[in-house]
Amino acid sequence: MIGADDIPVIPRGVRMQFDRVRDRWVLLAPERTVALDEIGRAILSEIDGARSFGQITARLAATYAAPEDQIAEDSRGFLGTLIDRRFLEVK
Amino acid sequence: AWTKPTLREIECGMEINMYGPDSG
Repeated sequence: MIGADDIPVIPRGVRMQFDRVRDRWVLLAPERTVALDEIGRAILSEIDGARSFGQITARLAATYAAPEDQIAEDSRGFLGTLIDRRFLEVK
Repeated sequence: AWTKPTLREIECGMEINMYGPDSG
């Protein structure tokens, strides 16, 4: 489970891209594609390899004026799924 | 507004729900 001090990193070979055919954002990895919604894209857009998970959720809470604990819970599950599937790493 | 994010894996033209309100 990703912790507040963990720093999520998008690994080499994985990138976020707008898919014009499907008219939505996707996360591309070698031979694998995941479709994102706007909230998922917003979470991944905060990942810069320097910000911790806690910093990311604090920024999202400010942007969306939503409870930080709810954002942390949703984001933890979202990023955890990507980590399990090797679309994301933590350092 | 903030909503629970969703992840759907696209495989062989099919979409598989990985995470989100309907993922169980």
